[in-house]
Amino acid sequence: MTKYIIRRLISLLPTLLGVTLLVFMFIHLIPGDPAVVMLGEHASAENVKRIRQQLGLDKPLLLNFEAPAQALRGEIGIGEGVKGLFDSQYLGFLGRLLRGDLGRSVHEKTPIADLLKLKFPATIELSLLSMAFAIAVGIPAGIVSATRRNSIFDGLSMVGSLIGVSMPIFWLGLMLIYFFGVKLGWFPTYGRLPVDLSLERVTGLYTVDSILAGDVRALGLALKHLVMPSVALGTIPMAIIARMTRSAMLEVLQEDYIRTAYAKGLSERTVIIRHALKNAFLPVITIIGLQIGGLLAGAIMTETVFSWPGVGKWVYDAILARDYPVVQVAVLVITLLIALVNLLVDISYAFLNPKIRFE
Amino acid sequence: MSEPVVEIRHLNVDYPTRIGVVRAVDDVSLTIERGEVLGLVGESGCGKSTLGMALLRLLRPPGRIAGGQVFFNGRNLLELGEEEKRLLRGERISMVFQDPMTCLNPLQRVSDHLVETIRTHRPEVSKKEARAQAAELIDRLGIMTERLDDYPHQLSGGMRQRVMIGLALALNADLIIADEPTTSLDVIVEAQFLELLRELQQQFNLTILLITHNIGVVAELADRVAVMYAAKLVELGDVYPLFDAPLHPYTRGLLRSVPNIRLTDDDLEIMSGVPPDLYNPPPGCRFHPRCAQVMDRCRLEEPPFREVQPGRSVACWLY
Repeated sequence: MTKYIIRRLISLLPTLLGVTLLVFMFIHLIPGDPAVVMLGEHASAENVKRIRQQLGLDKPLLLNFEAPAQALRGEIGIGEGVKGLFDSQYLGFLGRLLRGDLGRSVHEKTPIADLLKLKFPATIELSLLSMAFAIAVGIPAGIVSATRRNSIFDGLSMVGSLIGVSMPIFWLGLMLIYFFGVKLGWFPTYGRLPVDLSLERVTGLYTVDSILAGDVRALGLALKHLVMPSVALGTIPMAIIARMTRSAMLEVLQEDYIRTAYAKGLSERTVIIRHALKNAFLPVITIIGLQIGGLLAGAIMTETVFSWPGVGKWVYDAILARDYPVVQVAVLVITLLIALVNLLVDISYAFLNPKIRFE
Repeated sequence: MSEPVVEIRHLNVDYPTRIGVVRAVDDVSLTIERGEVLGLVGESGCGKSTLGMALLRLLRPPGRIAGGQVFFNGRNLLELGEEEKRLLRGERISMVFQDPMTCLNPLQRVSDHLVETIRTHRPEVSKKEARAQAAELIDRLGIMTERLDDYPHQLSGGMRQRVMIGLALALNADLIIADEPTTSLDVIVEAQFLELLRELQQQFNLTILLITHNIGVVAELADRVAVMYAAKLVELGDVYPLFDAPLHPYTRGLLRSVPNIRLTDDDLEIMSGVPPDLYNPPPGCRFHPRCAQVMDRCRLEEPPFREVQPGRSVACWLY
């Protein structure tokens, strides 16, 4: 098992490398220049040039062929020429990354690592709560739909989940803000906590931090702020989990061992929970894993709609500001997260299914 | 003779479908005495498995019991509430199903299967004690106790079927319904399994309803045989007299269609025709379209199922 995990972690490296390359190339396909964005449209060409130089944007993207060419012409030494070949924007970024230097935000002028520490927990907290919501509602809905097949509940929950799957997140978010935030005033419409409330930062998850601080009021407020974004972000996975649970349960309930379980004299409840659900959980866990990937994509929209200061909104703002280093790091972090979740899902198979043993 | 374990009186089982109602078990009356093995034979779809599931009150919806009475140890099974039915299952009546690969929960160890059965009906038994009982049980069934924590996929087909038997034996059930217990096993394993079953039956004086289409298995184990055709009981009697001198033309045909290694293939007779459509059964005797000895009466009137010799009943106008 340990061997398997190590092998999987090693195989992660090429994936991450590929992602850096792809993101790097795509981001340079977007028209726009960070220097111009920073200085404004009417900046002088000289200033723009100076800033570009400062940011290293004047260097070639992937490889600097100018240096070996100079070396061939005899203008610089061979060693310098070879070294110079790698003096490009991408390889420079990669080199700094390997040394643990995530670079600086062009826009905010602060080290990206510091920003990441600030934004990352916000996204994690939101994602965890959305997923908790999706699972807590989706799985029971799926079970009841399957065991009461073709009942009114089944019909309603399946229509509901179809609507849930088809709902654009931003629209759902706006509707939630309009009804529950503005009209009814039940929940705050933006941010993680009221601005005047200070909380000692330990984990960065405000719910956890408020519990650690023993601050009940802060916990309540943090949760209140979490409700609408979590619902907006969790609705699609919830609907998909409900549908998947239903179909997996329907399939398992037809199995011979379910009949055996009834023949043993077990109650319907025991049969459904201990025998059917456990077996149906295998496909459901796969879907949950895949949904976590989708969740992080959805976080970009949700965080933007709810002004949630997390990685999603950060990426969104960074793209608008052409803040290349931030986009690169943020996407890398998201990729790493998705890959780790997938690994976790694969490992969980071994615990759920005795037929799978990783050797 | 002591009180029978099971007494079925005029049992009807219906399967309502979109194009009509199928009566899968039609007016079947049957008793099973304590300590006997009753073989229930017939071809696929004749209603024999449905009869077994009806006894357990585990018919798959929309299947339902449409009439009759089933007495089990003197109590009418059809009047029991859900909870009473549940408590009966696994404890007083247990079932051995056909395919042991699909009938055991793949996520449960052998011990989990057995312990669960024991503790469902005997909640006072501790986990440790139930586990000890389970170990004893599989040891008696010829499975090494080290296999107690194996999962079904780690066991061979024969072992899995023995685990199924273990489940049936765990609580000393009054009646074991074995539905095609050997069908998915190869001949060698089948022979071993039947040997084991016979030993257990004699040792514990088990009462078994053996549902099968395999005449050989019946000859091996059963004391009496009931033959079903198209949802009806057609013949019932002690196993050797019935096999030696079958009365009903269907039974005769059934026995002649069993391949015998000592005979050439030319001696193997294949019954012509197919079993009738149960949506629309033929009038009179249901076997008459395939019967060589058909008479006019057979086409019009249904023969009653009655005793023609001591311990021998048949539904045929020839007798």
